[in-house]
Order: sequence, then structure tokens, then C-alpha cells
Amino acid sequence: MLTLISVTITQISLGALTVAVALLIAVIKSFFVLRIFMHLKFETRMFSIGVAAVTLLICVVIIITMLDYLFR
Amino acid sequence: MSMLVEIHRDDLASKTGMWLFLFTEMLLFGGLFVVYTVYRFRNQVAFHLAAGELSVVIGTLNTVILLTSSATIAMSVTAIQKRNKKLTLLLLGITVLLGIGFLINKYFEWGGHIKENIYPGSSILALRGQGDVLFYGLYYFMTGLHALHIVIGLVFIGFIISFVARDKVNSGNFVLLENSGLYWHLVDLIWIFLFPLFYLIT
Repeated sequence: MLTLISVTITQISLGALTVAVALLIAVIKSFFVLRIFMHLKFETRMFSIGVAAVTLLICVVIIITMLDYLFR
Repeated sequence: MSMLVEIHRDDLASKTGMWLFLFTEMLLFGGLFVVYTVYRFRNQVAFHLAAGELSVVIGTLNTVILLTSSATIAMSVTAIQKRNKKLTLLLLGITVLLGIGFLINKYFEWGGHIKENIYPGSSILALRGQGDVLFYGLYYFMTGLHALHIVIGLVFIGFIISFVARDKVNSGNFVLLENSGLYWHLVDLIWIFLFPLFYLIT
């Protein structure tokens, strides 16, 4: 039900919505999906660390790529 | 005697394997998000205008559908732990129906675009310029790859339903159900990011 609420938030803020807000809500939503639905809260920390590592890797790759395009 | 014969099972290892696979899936879509970021940066106006053409209503509807189906499959895991086989089957059935509903929406959405001659390789789309071609190329590829994952997830859950019905998956051995749930949640997670990136960037 938490997830349904977050969708509603997305809908309401849609008017003057910036990409940052949309992505922030997406991150919050995924946090809940991962913790509660995917039981990361109750599992070994190994899985949480893995998710964090993969997410970090994707972010780092995006940042490095954008550094290239921004400062060429 | 038969009590002594027990097949060795390692549920943690099964789940670890599933998670490792999910990490590779995250990286697969992660690579596409990198491509999206760069193309969007280089074609900001075109992406902005093209994204406005997508139906936010269908997108939102599909988000709600997927999140609800994620909830029902999570509930089915709890149901089987409580030895409630009927409820497990019911919840899995609802999950499958919601997944099919998602695909039906997608069908109408894509169908609408194709009717307007917006599809990869379309000469009419090409006239609108590089940015639009890139946006719709990514749109079709990423939502298409995601839809393929939905189809695979549905088949996976279909097998689990038959296993639960035949008590192959039961309250003492439900790691397969958990893994199908994990896969379904990942598909949901990816949609959570695809939705704002394609539908909400106005």
C-alpha cells in the first residue's frame, strides 16, 4: 500500500516536475521494494551489500561518462 | 527407513544464485540507462518533446499494476509459510493476471504508436530528426526488453503455480517461489525507473 501512495505522489507533482524529483521518488520506491518485498531486511547482509555495490557501480559509470561529455 | 533418506537442500545457496543473476540483470539495464543519459543529454529538446507524446495515464496504470502484482507475490510467500495453499495459489493467480494486464496495456500503447508510424526504422519518424529516432529507439528497446522480462516472469510463475498445486513447492520447501518473487520484484524495480525516465520527463 505504501507503493500505491508513492505513485499518487508522482501523479500530483507531475505539473512542474523536475527529473530530480521523479528519480528521487523512484529511488525511494525501489528502496521499499528491495527492503520489504525482496526481504533484504531479513536476509543476510551479503545481498544488501551486493545491491549497493551494483547500484554504486552503475552510478559511477554514469558519472564518469557524463564527465567525459560535459568537459570535452 | 524412508525417513532417513533426505535430499540435501541449500536454500541460501539457491537464493544467492538468484541474487547474483539479478545483479547481472541490473547491470544489463544499467548499461542501457547510461546510453539513455548520454542521448538525453545530447538531444534535450527532442527528448523533452517526444516524452510528452507518451501516455502518462497508461504509464501510471502500468506502474500501479506492477507494484500491486509485486505486493501479491510477496503476500503469496507469506501465505505459503502459513501453510495456506489456496491463498498462495489465489495470490499467484492474481499476480499472473496483473502481469497479463500490463502486457495488454503495452500492446495498446505500442499499437497506438505504430499506427502513427512511430517505430524503429520508420521513414516518417526519421523525418522528425535524430533526437526523436534515438528517443523512440531507446523507448522500444528498453520497454521491449522489459516486456520480455515480464513474459519470462509470467512463465516462471506459471511453473511455480503448477508446483504449488502438486505440492512440489510447499510450506517446507518454497525457495523456488521466493526466487520467482525476487525475479518479479526486479522486473518491477526496473519499471520503477523506466516510468519516470520515459513518461514523466516533461
